[in-house]
Amino acid sequence: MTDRLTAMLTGLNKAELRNLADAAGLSLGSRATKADLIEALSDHLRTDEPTDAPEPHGPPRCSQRTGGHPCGLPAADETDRCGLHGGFDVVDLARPVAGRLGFDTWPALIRQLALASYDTDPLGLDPVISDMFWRLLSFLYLDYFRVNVEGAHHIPESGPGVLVGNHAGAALPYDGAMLAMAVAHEAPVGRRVRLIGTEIFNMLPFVSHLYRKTGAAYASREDARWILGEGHLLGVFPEGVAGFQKSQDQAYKTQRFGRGGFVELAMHSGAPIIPVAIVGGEEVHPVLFTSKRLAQLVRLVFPEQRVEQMAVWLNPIPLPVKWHVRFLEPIDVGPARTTIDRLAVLEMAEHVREQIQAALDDMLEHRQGIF
Amino acid sequence: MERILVTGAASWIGGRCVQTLERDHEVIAVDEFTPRLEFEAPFHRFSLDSLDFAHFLIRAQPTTVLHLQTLDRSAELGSARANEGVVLGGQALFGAIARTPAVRHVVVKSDTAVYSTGPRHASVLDETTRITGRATRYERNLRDIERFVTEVSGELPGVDFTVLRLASIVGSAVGNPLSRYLTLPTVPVMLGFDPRLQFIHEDDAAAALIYACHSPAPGVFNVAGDGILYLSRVLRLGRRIPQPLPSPQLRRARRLLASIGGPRLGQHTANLLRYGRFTQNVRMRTDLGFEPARSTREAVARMYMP
Repeated sequence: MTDRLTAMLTGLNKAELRNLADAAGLSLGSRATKADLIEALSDHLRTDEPTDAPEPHGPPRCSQRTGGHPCGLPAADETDRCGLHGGFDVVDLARPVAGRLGFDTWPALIRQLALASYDTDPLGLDPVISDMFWRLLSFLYLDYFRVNVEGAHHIPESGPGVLVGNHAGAALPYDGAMLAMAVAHEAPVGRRVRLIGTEIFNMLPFVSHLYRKTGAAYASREDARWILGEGHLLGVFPEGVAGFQKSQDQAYKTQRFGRGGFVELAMHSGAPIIPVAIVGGEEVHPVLFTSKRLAQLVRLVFPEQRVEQMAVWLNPIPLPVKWHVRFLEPIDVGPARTTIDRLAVLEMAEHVREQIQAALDDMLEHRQGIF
Repeated sequence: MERILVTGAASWIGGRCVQTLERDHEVIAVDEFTPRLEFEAPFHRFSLDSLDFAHFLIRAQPTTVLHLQTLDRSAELGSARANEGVVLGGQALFGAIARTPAVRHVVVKSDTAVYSTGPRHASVLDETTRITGRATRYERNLRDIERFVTEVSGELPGVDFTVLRLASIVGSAVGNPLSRYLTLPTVPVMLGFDPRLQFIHEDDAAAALIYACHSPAPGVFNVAGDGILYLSRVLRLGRRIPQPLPSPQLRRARRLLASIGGPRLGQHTANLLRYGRFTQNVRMRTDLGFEPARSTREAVARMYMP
């Protein structure tokens, strides 16, 4: 219930939220971020609801103990446990275990981390570490890129689903993070998107474990099957490096969708395919030119990568582009089956690509300026 | 009452298996070293790669063979000698089994290291996963031995072959390099890498092998405790201080450690401590019917606090 309220507020833009806050008589500084506004407003709206007993010590805390101390994290709605102690499904739901409390729960989070008191899933999702990234990514999502989302009701509320997006950008895969945040913030039920990425993520120091701890996995059939088999949302960018490293005149032109592996996975598990069109990623680091020489160098280090060209960009800080994400009508691939029609796979992949391209063209036409 | 021949009986796991099996069965223990644990069963000192051993096996006419001498013994023997011995020994053993009609059941100890590990390995492996990719020597040996098993089991339809791929064994008694390494007061780890690890407790490893001797279930099974732990969390549970070092310095530190009598990690373990591995143990429960007593987390807790 609270999630729907937050999702509703997230759908509004910052000016509207500020008007609402002024009307409600909330005094927030001019430096308040969108996250602060949402938090203050949803608190305000909820305290308007009649409650039987006032809560003297803030929101209810988890009743469990770890290492001889009370857990200290806020309890999930209608339970007396936090996410780490089974209050809700931390693996599937993208709800921060620290709630919306923010920095006063960091000591509790750090204690859980130090005691290693909770379990991680086989792919290595660490709910506490991913919580620590939640604030940074939420800031990027709400206040920096100000992502505008359409069609969030197409995201399944439970069960598996394959989210297929167009890849963009040249420096960091911001589009993956924004896709995950869009689902977490705006879907009817905020869920985790388990993204899958190339082996470069496994090879780079620090990235190699942090990307796993935030819930991503390696782009292999086994990993993707596990994610869908457990009923989670899988996020893929089938263009791969070809979509990631392209020149500016190729912006928003979808490349070949791999070998349609994502369609095969969906058919194997019977999960719907939800095409996602993402606008904004191409301008965050504008590409000056592309270099085949650089690609040769990269191939020396990562010989298995099919990288044809590397994009060269200049700005170290991402530009504050206004992003738009549109979730399209889910495509039902029929019941789960083991024998796959190879031609149907390719046709479906092409169909999905055309849908995303059409949506991209439409969104670009109606876009009012880049920022 | 079966007649069980156990190879690799000198190791801790082998000793535990012989001690348990000799209560109900006639056990013949074979190894080339002095056993670490004491047992009553007759012990024969053979090098597995010798023809004498093959002829001994044919004469002994066992009904069950428990092949444990696939362990990584490079720490004791030096890597070249150890690795050759394992494969040649396996070849001699399976050749002799083919000539011994009494044998009904063969249990082979393998290791999840057979999947090897690296940046291009799937995060979730199961028994049907195609085994590919670069492998260290020990991992190649395991692949060779598993290949022998597939070949021989095709030729001998009357014999059940059970291959147990055990996850990394940890415990306070087993004294293998990984357990000794993780219980060092401060543990050198690779800077910027935090592998997902999966363990099986020493007692569960022995129990699984004994269980497989009793209940013939042909096939290949991953045997591992439930769940995973990141290396950082393993060390936190054991209150050990990680010592992050970049790759070249880490190699030097490990060499230094080995030269002053510390544990000598094989290349496969060094890789494991960089990239990690997780194997699914579903078939262990459904098809083999074995239930480990401890999860990965409990095995680690038990290693640090026996």
